[in-house]
Amino acid sequence: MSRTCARVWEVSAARDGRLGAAAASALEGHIERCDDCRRERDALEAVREQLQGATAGELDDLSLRRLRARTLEAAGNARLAPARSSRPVVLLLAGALALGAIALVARPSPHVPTVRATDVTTTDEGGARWSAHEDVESRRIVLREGKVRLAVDRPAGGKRLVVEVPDGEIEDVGTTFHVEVSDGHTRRVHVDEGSVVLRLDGQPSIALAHGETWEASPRVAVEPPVIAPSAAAPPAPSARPAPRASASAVASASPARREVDDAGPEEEDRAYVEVVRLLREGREHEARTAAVVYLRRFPSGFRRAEVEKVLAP
Amino acid sequence: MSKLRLVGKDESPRESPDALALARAAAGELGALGEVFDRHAASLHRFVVRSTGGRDAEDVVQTTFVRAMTLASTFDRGAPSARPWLFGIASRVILEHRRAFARLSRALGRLASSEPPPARIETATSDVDRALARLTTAKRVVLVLAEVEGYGCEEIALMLDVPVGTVWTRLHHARREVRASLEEGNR
Repeated sequence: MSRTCARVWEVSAARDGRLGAAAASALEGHIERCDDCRRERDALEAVREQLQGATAGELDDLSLRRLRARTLEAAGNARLAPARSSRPVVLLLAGALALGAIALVARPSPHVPTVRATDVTTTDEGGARWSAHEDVESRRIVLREGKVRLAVDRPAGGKRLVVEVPDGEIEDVGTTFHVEVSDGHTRRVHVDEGSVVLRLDGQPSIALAHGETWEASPRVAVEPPVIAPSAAAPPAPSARPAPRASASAVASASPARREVDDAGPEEEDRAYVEVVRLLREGREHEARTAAVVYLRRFPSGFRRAEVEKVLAP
Repeated sequence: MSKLRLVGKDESPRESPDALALARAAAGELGALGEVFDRHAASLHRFVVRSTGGRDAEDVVQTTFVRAMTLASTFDRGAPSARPWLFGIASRVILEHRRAFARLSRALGRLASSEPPPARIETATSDVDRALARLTTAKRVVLVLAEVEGYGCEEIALMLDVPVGTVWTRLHHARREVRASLEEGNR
């Protein structure tokens, strides 16, 4: 009975960098003379070739673009979340500074067409009534009426720039954009460069990238906060392809109503299992409601994609 | 007339396009993350599909880039490419997803003990796919990183934040199991 060469193990060891240079060189010579080691080398190479040759389900261009949009939206929301949770502390600090009459600056400027702040240029594009404020963490433009164009040049670590509109807020993520407000409601947001995140009361947050426009319909202002399964549908008023109603979008529908859930993974699993259970029992309407609850509680949950499918029309 | 004169060689370290973009991303610029996405998303997606069989591949890619945004300030600015760094993040996300899936299976099992929990939602279409599907996720990730993506064991150890010995062991077993599966399929 023939025995396998005792040095066969060295073949994979050499591939993995486990042998020193001298040993690896000696093995090369040995392989030329040893059938066992040569077979081992060829077998490992064949496995590699088969693995490399296996198809990997290429994404087409459209899928890749959609994934890109969803990713940037989620990254924007993730980046903004910590700042929001620390707001009460920051406001206290700002209040303390305000007592010293130093930090808070309010400059009503209804008739001045252009005012350059440190890194924000606000231009009146028609009937704009706005004021600029600054606190320890952010610059804020309060737009009560009319159209403005904002060009933001935020240096690394610079303060956040938030445009407060009567029915929500728009957070800049390094950009030039236009906002129009009338009759107490936001009517239009257009982004020239960069991107912004639009958060209106009772609506999922929306990330707008360069060249994109959001336009309101009259219905928006009177819609109640979303609590039914239809909450997962994209916001009705949109002049661009509606952004996907991602879990994060559902969760951040309104800063005031946002439900931040610190429950552990078991709680998340229970919420998902509840959706599955209701589906299995044929209680579709209740399952959709449970799905909305899941998305609101676990905007970055592991089963987000599956739960969103429950809500798909 | 003044002339420009070369008085010395600029020896300041050159940062790669990825390093520059991630520095901007760390400062909150989403567009910079988009640049990194454009350069690496397709290859990252292929890696994730090979490592998971396609399950939740887009979710993993998305989570990877979102996490990259929050970790951007930790990126080694001297590194020539963000690719290994992103693959490392993706590997950890894949393993986390796998653990979450296992938890879910257990929860579903408790919910309806009469019904078996969903085992693996993966459709293998070839002998290689079937062989890969039999591996644990940890072994599979290491095997794909080494044999398909061409990373060395030391690099993989850094990516996964595990000792290099762990990589050697996983790779050894993964190769052996894949070969056995392939040979079984050939019989």
